[in-house]
Amino acid sequence: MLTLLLEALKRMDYSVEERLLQSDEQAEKAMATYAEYYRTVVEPAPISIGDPMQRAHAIEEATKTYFSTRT
Amino acid sequence: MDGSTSSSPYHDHVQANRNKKDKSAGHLFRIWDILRWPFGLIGAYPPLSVKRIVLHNFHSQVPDTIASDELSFDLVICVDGHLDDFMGSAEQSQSFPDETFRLAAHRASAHSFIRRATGDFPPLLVEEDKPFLAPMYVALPIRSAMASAEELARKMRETKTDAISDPETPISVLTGFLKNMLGIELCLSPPHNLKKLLTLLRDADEPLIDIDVDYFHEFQGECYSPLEKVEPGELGFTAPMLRLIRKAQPKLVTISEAKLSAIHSTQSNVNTSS
Repeated sequence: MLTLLLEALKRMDYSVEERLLQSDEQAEKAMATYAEYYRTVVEPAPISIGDPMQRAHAIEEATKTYFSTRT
Repeated sequence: MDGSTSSSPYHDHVQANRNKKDKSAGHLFRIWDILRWPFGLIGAYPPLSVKRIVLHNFHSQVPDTIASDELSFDLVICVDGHLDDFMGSAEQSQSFPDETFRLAAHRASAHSFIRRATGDFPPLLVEEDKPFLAPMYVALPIRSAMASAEELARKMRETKTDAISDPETPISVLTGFLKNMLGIELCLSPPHNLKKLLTLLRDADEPLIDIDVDYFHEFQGECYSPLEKVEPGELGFTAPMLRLIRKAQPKLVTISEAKLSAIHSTQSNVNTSS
């Protein structure tokens, strides 16, 4: 379907530039890692009513710890 | 916010481009007038536009493309199967391990970041910056708008925001939130068609059309985040979009969220493009 869409656009004199990742596997791995990170770090972070920066700092600290223990 | 800071990055970008265009238009006028004078030609300037499609994997790559482009857009039209309006700190951490992870994290914030790249958020602007805020419309299927509205209502309940006692429907709360916080007008399509956007496109000097392919019914097998159990008529189709582009002729169309396997298909003409 993408082929057909691009072909139709090229017939309207559009040129095509590509800014692509290396592979679908790379993209899907990044999405899966992010989904796991979100479930583990972001969702459990406490909601701080009246002080949104408190939650932001908590997430940032938890993010540092999360990735430092995985590498 | 410091009210004395009257200039946003987009303000500077737009002003610089306008100055550049004024200068180049002046030169062109002189050259073209000299060339056509002996022949008594009446006509417009020679065509300068180069029309481009920029193809990305992740929608979150598009804001960088927009921010680095020399065009200064005066209208942004997005079509998408999902609303990418996250603005939280979770998507902007400094501790992400690599660029691909950052792009994956920013996918749900693509519309917010496109807004920032084309004029910033209305609450962050002072009055004199507002003319540089490009009007931005997001065409979103009503089923996705309902899901986003329910999610917004849930967050409001969690944070005990007063708006939950508002008698408005979740959709109207979402519409108001997008308009006031992000400067985004929501276009519920389907059920509405894209025709009303054509008038806006025709009136714009430098419009941008941003396409996330999961908006289209036909692309559900070729995108990273297909919608579940799609019934005919729930999503957009490519033919009306192509008609819109043919009529509006925007100089830049960004396309994203198509899988590489679709782009690199042996059937794909992308590989044979020059």
